[in-house]
Amino acid sequence: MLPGIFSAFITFAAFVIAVVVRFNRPPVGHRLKAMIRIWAMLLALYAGLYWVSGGKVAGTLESVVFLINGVLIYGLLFCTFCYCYFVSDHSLSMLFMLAMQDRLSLDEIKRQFPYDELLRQRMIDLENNHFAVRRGESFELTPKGRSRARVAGTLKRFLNLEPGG
Amino acid sequence: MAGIFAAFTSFSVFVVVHWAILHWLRWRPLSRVLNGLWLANLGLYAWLFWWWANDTGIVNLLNGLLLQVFLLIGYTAFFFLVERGLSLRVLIEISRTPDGRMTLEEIKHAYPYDYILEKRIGQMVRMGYWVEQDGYFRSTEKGRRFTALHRQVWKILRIGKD
Repeated sequence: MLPGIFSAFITFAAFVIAVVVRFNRPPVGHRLKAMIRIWAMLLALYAGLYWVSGGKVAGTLESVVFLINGVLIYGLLFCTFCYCYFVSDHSLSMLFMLAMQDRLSLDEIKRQFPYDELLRQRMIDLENNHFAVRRGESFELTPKGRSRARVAGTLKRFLNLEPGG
Repeated sequence: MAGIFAAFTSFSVFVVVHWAILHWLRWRPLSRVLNGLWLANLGLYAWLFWWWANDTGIVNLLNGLLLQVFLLIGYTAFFFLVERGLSLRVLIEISRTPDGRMTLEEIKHAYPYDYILEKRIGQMVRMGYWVEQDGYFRSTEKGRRFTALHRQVWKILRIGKD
């Protein structure tokens, strides 16, 4: 079991370094896609480290479970990294906290971060990710956007979180 | 392997209990409910491990614990994405209009800024990052540390510069 855990952590450290290097060489493009690509490429490093550190890849159930256990840890470390990254990159609360100098009133927050601008930026994101298209003054969902909305709506209902946001 | 089974079993119990709480109880705030469940679930994991496989060694125990913690983090991330996501809410609002389209003004009306701010700022105050005094919000020491950490993350990963 130890070779899998060890390989997962070393590979994850390599992943973090690779992401930092990549993000410091613009243009990066779609950041999540870049991170997924790096994660997938480094699976080869995981396999190599697993083998070098004495992990068995024989046909017993136990050895297969130990190999998958390491991949799972590497995958969950990636999810945790993405979570922290997107909290930092996308969260409104984070933006407000970074803007705080001495003190802020609600009106000052509204002036510094006008809703129009904020929504416009999100709509550009949705357009760039092919979830919505602009038709004159209106926004319309693409088939991809409709399917995402359906999944999200179902999940919200399932977890009793409506309207949320 | 017992640690892995204990981790997945206790995580499954966590998901079911959380779902039941969200449906049948009005316990709020959601973040505090999750924190409480996290602690209870780690206890459940320890008990399951002790019950099934207390003789399989420390590596097994720690491996299961690691999986358990990461599964809980993953679930929490997924949960807040579904609950809090601004873009998701906009997508859902547009998808529910009769003609499947909305202008910015209509989105602003269906999803008001005051609602968004109240939720975010309320959460920051509850979590102890900000305090409210005489109509103004100020950072606490905890808030300043958290912000400084994220400034470093923004710098290292060049966030907001592309």
